[in-house]
Amino acid sequence: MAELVRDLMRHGALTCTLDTPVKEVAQIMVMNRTRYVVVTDKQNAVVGIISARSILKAWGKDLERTKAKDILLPYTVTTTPDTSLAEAIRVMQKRRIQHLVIVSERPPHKQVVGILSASDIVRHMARS
Amino acid sequence: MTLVRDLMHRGVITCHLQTSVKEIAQIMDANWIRSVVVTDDQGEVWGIVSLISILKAWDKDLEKLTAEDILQPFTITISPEAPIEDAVKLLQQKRIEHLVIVSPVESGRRAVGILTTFDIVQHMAGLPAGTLRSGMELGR
Repeated sequence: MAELVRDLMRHGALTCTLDTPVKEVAQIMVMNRTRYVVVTDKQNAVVGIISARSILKAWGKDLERTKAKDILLPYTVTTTPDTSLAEAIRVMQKRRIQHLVIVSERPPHKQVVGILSASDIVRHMARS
Repeated sequence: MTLVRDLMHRGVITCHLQTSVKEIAQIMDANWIRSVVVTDDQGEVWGIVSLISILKAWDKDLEKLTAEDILQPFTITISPEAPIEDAVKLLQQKRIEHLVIVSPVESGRRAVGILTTFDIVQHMAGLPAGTLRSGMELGR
């Protein structure tokens, strides 16, 4: 059977809100040694993701005034734990992103359940 | 003014053009790194293999494919003496995560370091030294 996202995803994800200042988003990444932060709305639904490269968009700007909503990569492709790994990898390559937000299949809509990262996939490739 | 050399990592982990993709994935796994610099017999830089490059080989034979098949060619150069703004622009324009820094004095393309988007994020976060979690934890 084809491998699924649920086989390699990590449960849980680091999040911030739309109005979190970029400075704080950068601090969340550095303190947790991650390269992503998921942006959620008031209903806890995913709106987008911020990668290390997204943070660079705020270079030269006021990092307290620039907010997560100003630099996020919008969440457009829905990936669930039952999406095939092959499909998830195709999306990562096409969009040149190293993290995919995994959302719940059940309502409420677009609730974050985990993260699939390129580093976890490569580790799997190294060890299998 | 902050320069590339102020934020770059000195020293790089390399592999040969003929190293298999399987082995490169193992090098990344063992060393907690996200890119490997590809060099030839003379130690000159040919390119870089990133996590995204490795994903290209997902459904292929990892023992048969080599670094040469999946590398991003080394075409983007930046000097250690360049202002960090130039590196920020390059990383954004080219949609890449790593810049290989070559020696400005030695002949040939000798890699002396790597600058990553994360190094710049660390600088922007402005956290005091010692804020990081200790240990070899892989940034996910």
